[in-house]
Amino acid sequence: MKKLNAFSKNKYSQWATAYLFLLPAFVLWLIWFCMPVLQSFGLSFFKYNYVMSNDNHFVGFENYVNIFKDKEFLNAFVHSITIVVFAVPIQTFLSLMMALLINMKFRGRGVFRTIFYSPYVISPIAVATVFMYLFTEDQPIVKFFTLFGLENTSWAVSVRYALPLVIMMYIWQQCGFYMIMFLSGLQTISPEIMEAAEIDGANKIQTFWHVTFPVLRPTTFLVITYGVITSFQVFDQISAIAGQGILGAPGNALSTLVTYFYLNAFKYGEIGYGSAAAVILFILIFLATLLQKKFLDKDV
Amino acid sequence: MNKKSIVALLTASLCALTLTVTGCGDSKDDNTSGGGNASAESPVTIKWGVWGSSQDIETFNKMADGVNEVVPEVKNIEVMHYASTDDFWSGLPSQVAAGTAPDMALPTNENAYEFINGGLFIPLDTDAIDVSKIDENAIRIWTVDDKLYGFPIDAQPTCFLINLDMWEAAGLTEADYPKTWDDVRAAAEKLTTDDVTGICINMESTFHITQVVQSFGGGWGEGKTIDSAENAEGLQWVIDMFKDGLAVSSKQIGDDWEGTSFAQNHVAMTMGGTWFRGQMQTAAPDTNYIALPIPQKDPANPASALHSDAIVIFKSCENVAAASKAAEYLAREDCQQIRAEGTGNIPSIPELYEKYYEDNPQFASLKGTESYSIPFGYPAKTSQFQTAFVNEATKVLYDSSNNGTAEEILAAVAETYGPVE
Repeated sequence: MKKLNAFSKNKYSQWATAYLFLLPAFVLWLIWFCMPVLQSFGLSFFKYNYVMSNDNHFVGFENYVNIFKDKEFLNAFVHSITIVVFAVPIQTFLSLMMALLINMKFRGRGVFRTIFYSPYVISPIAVATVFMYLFTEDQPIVKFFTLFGLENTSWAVSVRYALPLVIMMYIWQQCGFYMIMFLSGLQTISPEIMEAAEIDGANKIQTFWHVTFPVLRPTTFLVITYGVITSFQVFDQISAIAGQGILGAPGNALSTLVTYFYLNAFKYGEIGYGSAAAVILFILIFLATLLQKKFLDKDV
Repeated sequence: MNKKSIVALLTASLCALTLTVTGCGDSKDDNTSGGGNASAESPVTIKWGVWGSSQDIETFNKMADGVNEVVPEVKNIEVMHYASTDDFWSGLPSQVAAGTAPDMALPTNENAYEFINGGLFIPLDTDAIDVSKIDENAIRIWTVDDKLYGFPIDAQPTCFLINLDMWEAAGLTEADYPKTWDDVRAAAEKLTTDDVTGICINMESTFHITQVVQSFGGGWGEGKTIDSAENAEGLQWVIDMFKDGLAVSSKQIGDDWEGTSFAQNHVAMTMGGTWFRGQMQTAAPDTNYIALPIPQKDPANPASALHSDAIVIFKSCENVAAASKAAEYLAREDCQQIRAEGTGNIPSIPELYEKYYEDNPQFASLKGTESYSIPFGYPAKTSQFQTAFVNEATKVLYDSSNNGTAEEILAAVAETYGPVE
């Protein structure tokens, strides 16, 4: 009995220690994350404009109703979904291929690892500036794309090509990060398993499909989930293209849910309306993550 | 972990939390105007929100120096630097909420109406400050419903800029300086080559198009005349210039703004203001250029916008009297002279015009144009109007397959930002 009491006391002490260590982070999380989220949720039910502040009042669900009636919101929603639909599969595939390449033993793979990872550490603003220059009318890359029937035009100001340009620069920048995630997954695979597959007569594709890929499933799930979350939030590149001009231009081609929220909340001062847009964005990302968990996470 | 350690850890955590929370609080000096404890006897610090280059900030600091000697109720003017206009206005809501917003700012009149209409700026007490020396045109554009909302510290007519080296190389002379938009088109046809476009018209903002529509006899009329025939005529002129390859926007040629396009000889003409002086001094000191009045549809009835920076006081300012005096101090003759020399802004005091144009001969043609200058006239929801206009216009201008007309663009914008019922 005495021994049991000592065990309980010890266990209690361990829990108390753990919670005490967690306490500062938890409190800061409450202050810096939960409180703003709750405040934003609360503001979404108000007409709250810091410029026209004499007219701030409770409006219930009016902001939400107006958002869903706004053609511009639908346009922004379509663009955000387009970014997710194109960026996530492509960057997942490319980063997996890059990780497989880097995981092979060959001379100079460290150099390739650095080359592949370096775009991720460069400022998105700098990347956008360089891409905008490279994709200016008459530049070699633009001329190359004319071979496939595209126009010789400056992509950043083209209503048709501005969004593909953003998706392209976003993928180019993110692949290195996801490559590292896949690489860490690949390095957990025991060489014995690979050898066993080889002895059993599996070729490279069979080994990848039946050994490597199943082991990488948790990593793939993580990469896709994180990819969806961040793709919904693309902003820096669009902001860099706008510069001192209008965010989301040309012709609303770069209007996304995040730019829609930002413009309304901060540019137009409609904090209540912008907060409602932010809540909708939050719910969308949350739902997308839940759906992925339901369909992709089954065997993980 | 023993009980003593747990208590020690708990105490440390609470201390850290207390420090964090108090650290996040407002650590305002009691003597700042926002502190609420300022008395008539104790001089206060006035916070002045500004944005601009390092040269601008240096100039602002020079202007603010020595305020206490002239205005005893102001201890000092603290210059709060923001990276850009957007940075300032975007950050303002959270600063207002946190009680750290400045007392005053230095916006231009271009976007001011939105904030005046919303009550963010308070009217100045013209009995307490002396504005008698300030150009009446500058006063006029900062006056709304007979109330003055800004103390103008410059008055800059917008201008039409020509690269004289290119002008002469194309066989054009002083006699060809454009007075009308037809003249501009004729010159652009001569100046456009494989490497150079005749004129840069920046369509990522509404600044240039406003000059064009106003000089065509139109204007936005605070939203009442967005789709007027004059505006449509002016905008159609711009569309035709783009479609005919005679005009280009700076972004189309990979430049960040028209100043870069002009300085790097990518375009031969553009529109702007005296801020081109600094740009040309640093980016193209050897290029010869001249600033002319904005060309007009009917030179007998000219109109163009007056660009004026003014000191405004926020409604959150708790010591308006001291802030007003600080504004008056910053707008004094010496300060305007410092600014004219430092950043090239045209003063708002007419007695200083002569010296300014002597020192800056490239802008001498602008003398007198302030007399027909008018406000930008954007609707009260200025930012939303600008976003809508730019998006509608760029759909047509930047898509070769879109044959939309000026009337269609303006009708789409007027539908939302036209006259309020």
